Amino acid sequence: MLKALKYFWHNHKVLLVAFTLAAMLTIAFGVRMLLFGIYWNDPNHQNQPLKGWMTPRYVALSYGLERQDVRDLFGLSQAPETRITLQSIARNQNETLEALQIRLDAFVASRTAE
Amino acid sequence: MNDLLLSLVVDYGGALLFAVTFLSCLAIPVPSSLLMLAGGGFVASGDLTLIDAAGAAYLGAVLGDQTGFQIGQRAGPMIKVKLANAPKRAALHQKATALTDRHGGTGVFLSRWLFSPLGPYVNFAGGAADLNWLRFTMWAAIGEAVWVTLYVGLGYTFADRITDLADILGNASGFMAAGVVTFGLGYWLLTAAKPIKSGKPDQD
Repeated sequence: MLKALKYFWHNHKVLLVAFTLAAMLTIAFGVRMLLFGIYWNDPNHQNQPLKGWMTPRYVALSYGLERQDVRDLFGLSQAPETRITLQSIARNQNETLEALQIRLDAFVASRTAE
Repeated sequence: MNDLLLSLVVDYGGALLFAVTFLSCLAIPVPSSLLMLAGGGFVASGDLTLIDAAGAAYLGAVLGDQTGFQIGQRAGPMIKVKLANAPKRAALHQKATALTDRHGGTGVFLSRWLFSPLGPYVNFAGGAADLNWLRFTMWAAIGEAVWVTLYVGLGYTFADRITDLADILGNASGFMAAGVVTFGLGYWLLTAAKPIKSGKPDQD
């Protein structure tokens, strides 16, 4: 083993270094893949908090709510149903994403209480 | 950065997906996997149509592959001139070209989706190695169909967890690509080691 390594080091240095780097990279990716897989399986992480890029329809799908309920909740009852981000909604209404999250959480809580 | 790009998917829909898959075929680091998953997620939520998401992403990928192939084809002659002055490298290049000829189709197909981080380099190399254009185009088109269907489909299925899924898949495809490169380099090392066993190391 050592003899082979010595041989490669003297005769194929670049190849040996490239191989070692590639192997380390493979292991790193493999470990990260497993860690994210474990995270994925943890039931505590299965409720996505609101993000600026989400749309009301996406929130409805993600939280298992009626589209109209989400629209009402975010003050869009009268607005035409277009593709719009929560970020834009919050900006238009001089609100923060956190405020929308609080309203949504309260609504979900009242629903489950019923 | 990713959050901004996801917002842009909402704002620009298919046009953005087209641009992203196009650029990713030219080795420009854009999170095309995440955005295709998002495309699928927005189809599930009713924000995008399937044509918008999958159609645009597919068109961008196919045109991106063609562009990468063309770039390789233009750069190919320049590489050959340089190689003419370096016989050892020229032999290596010839070997690579022969390999591309034999396994080019499969390589193109698998580097679209299973080893996708390698895809752009296969485009350049395929063009530079004068891989038959029709063969390249056919395998690339089939491979991209698998790639787009896979990611948009997974995004649709797991719509409410696209960012978590992107973390797993991003590392999985990195693992596959780095793994296949490691395997290739390991094989190369073993081949180079053959002389050691026969007791006469080559003077490389």
